[in-house]
Amino acid sequence: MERCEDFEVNIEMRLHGALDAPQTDRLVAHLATCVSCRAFEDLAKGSENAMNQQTNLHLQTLDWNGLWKRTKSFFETQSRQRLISSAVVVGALAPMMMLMMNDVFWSAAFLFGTWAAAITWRLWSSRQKLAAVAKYEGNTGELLFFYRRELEDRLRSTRTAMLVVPLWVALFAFRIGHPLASTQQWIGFVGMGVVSLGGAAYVWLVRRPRIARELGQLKADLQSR
Amino acid sequence: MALLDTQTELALCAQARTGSRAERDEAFEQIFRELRAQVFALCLHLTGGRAEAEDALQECFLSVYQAIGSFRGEARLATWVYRIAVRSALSVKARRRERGHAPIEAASGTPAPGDDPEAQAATRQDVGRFLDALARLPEEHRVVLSLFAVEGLDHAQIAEIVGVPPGTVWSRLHNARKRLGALMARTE
Repeated sequence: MERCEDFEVNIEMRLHGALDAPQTDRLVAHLATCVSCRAFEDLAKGSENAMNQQTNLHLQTLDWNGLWKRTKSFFETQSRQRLISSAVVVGALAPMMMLMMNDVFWSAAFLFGTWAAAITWRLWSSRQKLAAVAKYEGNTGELLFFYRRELEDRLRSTRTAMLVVPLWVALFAFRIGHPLASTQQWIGFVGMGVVSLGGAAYVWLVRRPRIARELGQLKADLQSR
Repeated sequence: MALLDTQTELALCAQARTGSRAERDEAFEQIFRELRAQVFALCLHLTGGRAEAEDALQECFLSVYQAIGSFRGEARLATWVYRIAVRSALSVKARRRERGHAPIEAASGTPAPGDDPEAQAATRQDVGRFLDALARLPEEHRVVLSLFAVEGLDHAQIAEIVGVPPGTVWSRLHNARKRLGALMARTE
């Protein structure tokens, strides 16, 4: 037995061309007898018309050429600003790197600082995820979609890590190798290189395919729901 | 305002990714031309103001321009652009929240049936009440109502943009409409 609430959802579906013929027939029969559902239909049609009417009036008076020109100049300004901010970041990082290369204290400070930042970020994001899971508790559909977004994020972050971590490790390999006697420097380089390449190979050959497989299964499940 | 077909989308994305600077700009301009009206409509509904909608449209296409190279074609191009448009519009609105809730600026020349001044006034009042209620809706309801009002989007694409299962999108639309009706009734 369908309730008015179900018919109201069907009204929305019919309005957007997603209701099949038998359901449409049942809805039409119900609308003939139900005042409240007819009122809901009027509201749905009326509000959609009002939105479209307002939008169309704005669209008719928009100067698209002017807007395109403004958009293009906005791109150019933004590109210039990005170039300037990149130059500022590089300008700030360069002296920091020089300090790091020449001073053990700064080297340790950067190393532990990076670790601390990574751990803090990890803790914070875990708390955020727990909060989100609690929010979706009881709603399997939303939970699966959250899980899907989470897997997509993880896939993206492994790609970033593949670029950032080897660079970071190479930097420290150089720093560790630097104070050693020249005959022993290769141990530092090769050791860190092996760790870095091993980690990268693990992420690329094991971790990423596993996440991608999981994501593929999840997408298939969501598709069939 | 027909949406781009899949083949054209793929061709444009390939051109934007691998073409020369001029080809990239040309592909991007075509994407802008094809989707600008729908993106503007979405931004207008979500920000509530024409100037804010124009700003959000610019931010949206800037993001598209910067990220088109990394677009892998896992979703339809239009779906991806609308997702960016929703984010841009909400962030523009959040930045200007100090203005309080902002009903969509009623466009001048709102048509009313016939020449009867009383009927015209009543229609204007109805539209005003509706726009005011729309501005008071929570973000998630406003997003779903706006997306359904955009021409050419089906419920599966809307579900993809909002990030919910396709079945959930209908109940969310229904809840949004009920709430809109309640807000309109309150202002009567």
